[in-house]
Amino acid sequence: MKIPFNWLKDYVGIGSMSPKEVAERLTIVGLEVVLIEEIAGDSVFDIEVTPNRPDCLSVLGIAREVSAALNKKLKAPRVKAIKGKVSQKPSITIKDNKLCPRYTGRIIRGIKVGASPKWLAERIRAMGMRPINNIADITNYCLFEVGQPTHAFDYDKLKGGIIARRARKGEEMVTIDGKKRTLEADMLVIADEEKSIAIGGVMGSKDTEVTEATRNILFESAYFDPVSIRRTSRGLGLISESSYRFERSVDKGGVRTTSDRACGLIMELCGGEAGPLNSVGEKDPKDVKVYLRPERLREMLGLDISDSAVKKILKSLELKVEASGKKTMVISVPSFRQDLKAEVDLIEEVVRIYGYDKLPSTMPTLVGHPRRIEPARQLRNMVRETLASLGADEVITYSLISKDELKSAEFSVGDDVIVLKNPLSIEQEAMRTTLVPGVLHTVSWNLNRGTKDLRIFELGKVYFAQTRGFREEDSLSIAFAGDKPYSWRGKDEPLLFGMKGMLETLFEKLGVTGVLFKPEDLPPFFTAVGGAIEVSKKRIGFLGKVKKSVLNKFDIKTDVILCELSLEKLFAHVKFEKRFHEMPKFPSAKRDISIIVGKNASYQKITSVIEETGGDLVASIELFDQYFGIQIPKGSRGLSYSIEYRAGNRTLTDEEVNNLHGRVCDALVQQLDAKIR
Amino acid sequence: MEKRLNKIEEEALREIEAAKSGEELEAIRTRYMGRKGYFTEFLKSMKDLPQDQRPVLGAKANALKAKLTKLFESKIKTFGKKEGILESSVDITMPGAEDMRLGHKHPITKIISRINEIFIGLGFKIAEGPEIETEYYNFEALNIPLEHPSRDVFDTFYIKRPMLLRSQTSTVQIRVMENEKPPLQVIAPGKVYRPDAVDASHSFMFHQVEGFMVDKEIKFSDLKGTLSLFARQMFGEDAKIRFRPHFFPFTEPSAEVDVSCIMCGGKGCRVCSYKGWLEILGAGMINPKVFEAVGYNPEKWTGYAFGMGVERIAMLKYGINDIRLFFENDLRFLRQF
Repeated sequence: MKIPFNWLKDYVGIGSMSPKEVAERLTIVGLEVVLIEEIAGDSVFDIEVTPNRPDCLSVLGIAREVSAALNKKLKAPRVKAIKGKVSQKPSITIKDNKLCPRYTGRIIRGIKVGASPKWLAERIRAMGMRPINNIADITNYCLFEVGQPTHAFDYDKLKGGIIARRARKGEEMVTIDGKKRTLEADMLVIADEEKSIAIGGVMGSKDTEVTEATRNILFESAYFDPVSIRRTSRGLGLISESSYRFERSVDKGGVRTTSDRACGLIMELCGGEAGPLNSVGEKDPKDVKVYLRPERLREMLGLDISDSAVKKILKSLELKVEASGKKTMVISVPSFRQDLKAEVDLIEEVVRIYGYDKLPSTMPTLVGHPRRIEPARQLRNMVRETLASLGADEVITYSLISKDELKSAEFSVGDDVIVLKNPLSIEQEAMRTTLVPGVLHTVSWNLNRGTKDLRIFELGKVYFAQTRGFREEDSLSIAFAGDKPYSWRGKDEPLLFGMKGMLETLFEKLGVTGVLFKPEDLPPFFTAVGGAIEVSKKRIGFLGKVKKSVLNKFDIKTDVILCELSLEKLFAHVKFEKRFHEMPKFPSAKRDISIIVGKNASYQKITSVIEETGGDLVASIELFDQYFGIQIPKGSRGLSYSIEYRAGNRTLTDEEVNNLHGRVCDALVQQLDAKIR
Repeated sequence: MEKRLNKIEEEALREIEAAKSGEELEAIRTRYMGRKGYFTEFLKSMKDLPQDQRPVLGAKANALKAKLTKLFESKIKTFGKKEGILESSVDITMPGAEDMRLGHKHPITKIISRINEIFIGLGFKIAEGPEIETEYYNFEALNIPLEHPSRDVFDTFYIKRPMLLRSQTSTVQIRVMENEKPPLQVIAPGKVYRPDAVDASHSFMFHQVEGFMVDKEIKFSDLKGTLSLFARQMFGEDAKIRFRPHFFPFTEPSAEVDVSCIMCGGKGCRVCSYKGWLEILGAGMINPKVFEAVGYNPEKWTGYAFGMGVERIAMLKYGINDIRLFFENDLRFLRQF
């Protein structure tokens, strides 16, 4: 809201205070002066008015605040009832009293439309508007002065009386701004017997606009339903100074007085004679009574303030203290303060004017909750800690993505994808069902900016539509890219095994056991390299190497290893209880073995054969080499293990160990077709 | 040859004996034992000896080498130098192993953790709620009428009415109060969404932390005390806060809370637009209408609530000037925290 300082000074005794000082005071009482602009020798405040204070959308409203804040006298303009010589009253019919609770009209005859006098034109300019003619300028002047929008129709262009009714669906009107508007059936129009002449409270029609030729006018001052004005204004994409105020609710007590104020100015500046006011619908509102318990006020604020100080502040805001009992004050609230309905509202008024800065700083009696962080949150923290301590950087990508991104990552876009009704753009039209596109996007962003070695992870929600309702679930995705060797001995797919190592450490940290990586059921965006991750036979995610065709879509030119797993499913297997196992009392014996195996003998299968054959006597199995080469047939590989044997209750003899190792070798040969080297 | 070796020994012993400083001694060492030193040259020249002489002389040379090394070391100690200075062939200024590098938690994660820590220290507990919410939790229960200008600042992404993406974490306030009885001390961190076009200070997705306390005698001054303490722990012992009256439908009285500028300490600078203060959060006493919505008796209970933008706090704390950086995830950015 723009408030010219000189205009403000007309209504409140500011004295010699500078605009800056007044602005600071206003800011302190809650009307933040965002900017002070110098316009034509005047300082114009730009004040942020919160939606609960429609009364402050006027110079007089701000003057009231200044008066209370500075404890200076308010000098509101005196409004005299109009006594004109015209006897004719306009005919007014309200057809919808919900949308139009009150409508007043008055006829003024014999006016002369022309340029406004200098003082008026200057005030209009100070408000950032262009003066139009004396009638339009007076309506705008009153709108800014008291906050009540009014409207003047060219009376000679009306056919019969005024009707406030709903528009007919599809009804058309050209508004004053020259645009053709198509109306809906829930919108209020002001009409004569033939046509609509205004979108009530929003804008008048071009046809009935006051022009230089206008001699007689019908002057409207009314109260329109805020919700209806808001819908209409939004529906038409038309926000006017008038609609802005009506949708915030204007002062019902200002409907009649503003008509008097404006018509007085019209008769003074444009000549003419006014007729009597025809007021239809609600009468002038009465003050509202609100109770205030000063003790409650002191308790709630933690502020030691006397009853008399409370009363003084309330009075400075033009609130009347009707009665003041021992415990309760009865406060009479005038209609312009529609925001003051309950005791807490009055409490805020008191502390606001008293000064938030004078409020003491105290500490509540803290009850304290047992330090229980709910497990999921604790686990998420552990995941983040662990991955960061293993050198991965955390990223946070948008939960809103495009369907195309999902498709690029070869995720299906089905009914389970939640789509927004009002997205900002199609780039963010859907809620992610996977972290993969966001993570790939981040990989691309960084590789294309010169990062050579990249390990990132995101821990965040994914979202699904279900037959009934929606599901949000924590997910984890990790991506590796770049040229850094994380080995299994730096040979085969170092990034893949680097990530597998990271996951294994994470599982260990969380106490998740029985994890299997299975080379099957890979999601479509992976090459054949990778696998599904299972815990106790339940699928929790996948790990693998992303396909070239997918990488191309994300503008990535190097290999990317990626995993995604459901944290909810993972957390179901978390175990923190630790049990101590005694250190072995008897020495172990190690035997090395080198074998050549074909494709079908996976590490996991070999390990199980060794374990099954050796039973409890196998203490550990260490793979220490993998080799390919001329001695090894194509499609096969050489593996070297060091197997440690130990019994829990005695020292194994050399013979026992050799026998056992011999059986292990035989089993490998028989069951896996291994060749011993 | 043997004579030459004896001569080297003789002279070396004399020079070591005469050395007066560590630097001098080091120079002597280089002269004899360095890459082109007398002794080293001698060893090189041994290859020209006949095969049968080599072992004997070699053994002698090695013995001398050991003797001299020992001498240098014991002599250097007399100059108060530490052991090992003579073995300085390692360049300790070379970079450390990259494998020892830690990864980084996202700055937003770090700030949320810090906020949580501060309030957990005061006995608050953490609660969370869904991001996909209903109009009831996001608006109505918080005393925000569906069709009212007070909703303008809460522009919202809709899925299908009444389902929407929450535009504030205050929703959790309602959910907790519906399920639990006072006294309550709760904070609720999480993501929120608003259809704001993205620029340096706006993002359609960001993070908030909501906090609230409900008990029998919670006062407005307690809110000030709690937030002062928070500001000092977050921004340093000198941080001060200021309350300015404001309007939020779910609190009454309401305040916007400023912290004294962390750059200039309140004197006024470019960061605070020469105001000395930076807005950090919104707060107030829980509106009795909100209590009514969850079935609490507003005559019996009072409470305060506050909400802060995590990105805003992070930007102030780390001096970050563009909110987009948080979601671009450039590693050159992320690795700074």
